[in-house]
Amino acid sequence: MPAQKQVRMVADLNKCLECHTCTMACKTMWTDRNKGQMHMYWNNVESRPGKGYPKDWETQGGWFNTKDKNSISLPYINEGYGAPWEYNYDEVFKTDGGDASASALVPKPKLTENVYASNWDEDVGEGNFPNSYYFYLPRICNHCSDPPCVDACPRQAVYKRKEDGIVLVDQKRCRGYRYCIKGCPYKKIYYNPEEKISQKCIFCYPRIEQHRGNLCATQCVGRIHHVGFADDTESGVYKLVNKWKVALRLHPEFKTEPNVFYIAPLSPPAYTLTGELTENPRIPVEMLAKLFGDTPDQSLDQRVERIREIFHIILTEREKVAKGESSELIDLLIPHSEADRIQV
Amino acid sequence: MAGCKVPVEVTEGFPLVYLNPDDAAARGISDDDLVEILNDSGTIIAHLCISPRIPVGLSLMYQGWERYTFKKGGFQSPMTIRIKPTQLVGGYGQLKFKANYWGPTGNQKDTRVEIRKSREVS
Repeated sequence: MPAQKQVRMVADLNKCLECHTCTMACKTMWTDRNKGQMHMYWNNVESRPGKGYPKDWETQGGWFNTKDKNSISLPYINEGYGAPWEYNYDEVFKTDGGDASASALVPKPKLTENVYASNWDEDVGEGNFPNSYYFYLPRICNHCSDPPCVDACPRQAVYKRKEDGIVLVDQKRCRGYRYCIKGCPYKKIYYNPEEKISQKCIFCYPRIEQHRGNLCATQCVGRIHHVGFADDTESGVYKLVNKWKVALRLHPEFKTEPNVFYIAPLSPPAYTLTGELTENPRIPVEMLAKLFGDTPDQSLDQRVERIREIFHIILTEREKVAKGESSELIDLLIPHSEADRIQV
Repeated sequence: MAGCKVPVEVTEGFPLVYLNPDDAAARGISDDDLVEILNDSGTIIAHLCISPRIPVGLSLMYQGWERYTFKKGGFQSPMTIRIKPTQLVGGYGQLKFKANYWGPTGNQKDTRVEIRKSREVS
């Protein structure tokens, strides 16, 4: 049954500075207490271009493109997410009497093999200096309108709430079969190896129920997020997605109709070999077009065209404001209070 | 002890030095190798991260890593700290001078170094 209401988020990537405050807010709130959640970042920020988190999630596939659904591989916790480790502080802090001749024990990292972490290729980027480029992509569960994880679960443990369209895993019904992880092309469901169940971003539903924004959005120091309901024509998300049409979906070709939208990042112009500025943005639009689009059936060229159009809209509106005129779009993109960006 | 609350950046767990791909190729070192950063003052060992955003001829290292995170040396080894008058007040916590270890302002951040592959095993 389709959801009656659908909560949506728009993230303006022009403002993301990869401070990980969203990640830490989410981690502290939801995945810091129970066992087996150490590798989970329900919200993560990754540098693009990069392998992402879990490693190479874009190429792992999902329910949308595979006939043999058992053939989809699962990300391993060490190699895929990066198993967390700790310095041997316990050993270092423990003393057993005053042996002055013993050399001081210093903390040493306990590295696992194939070490990986949620922001492994931070600030690495591609291109050649001075035309090297990268940008930051914060990701949560997309709370898709057509969620493949719901279809994938043989026990109907994953469900989409009617009242706000949030996708949740029923922790009592889940038996840890992990079909949902295989099904999700964004790999935004995590397996808890200690409790042997799957867990995922809950869009902070207890807060949404109290008409407060989810934590990744409210804690964001760059104030990049807009949160609201898809049918609320007064909300920032409606205006950005439906009215100004500047927000795009991440990998719409996965055919899941994700409800987290992104405003693709503008970038300064690239240099020529002789040091002159060109017309082209430093982040190639073709590269952005591989990530962002409107609908599954759009071709890459159409997506490039669309992103250029969005850049044109934003720059034109910015010009207007520079001349002293007012612009609804720029006012939206520069929200001053929490009420300006969160309308739930 | 919950292990994930350390900043995500530091979950990588070891000091990184960034280098341009051309520089790395010229020295025959590849991504994630252990490399020695050395000059006449001293040597430190760090993991290499190859990134095209670094100009040729420059290497970059973030953070003041704790001494125990290095396999050899401390982050002041190639860049000796000079005594500042404020460090001579003495006896006030970090306000003291200790050669090549830790000072309140290790701000001599630029120096000439060579980078080569380390013989240490990771």
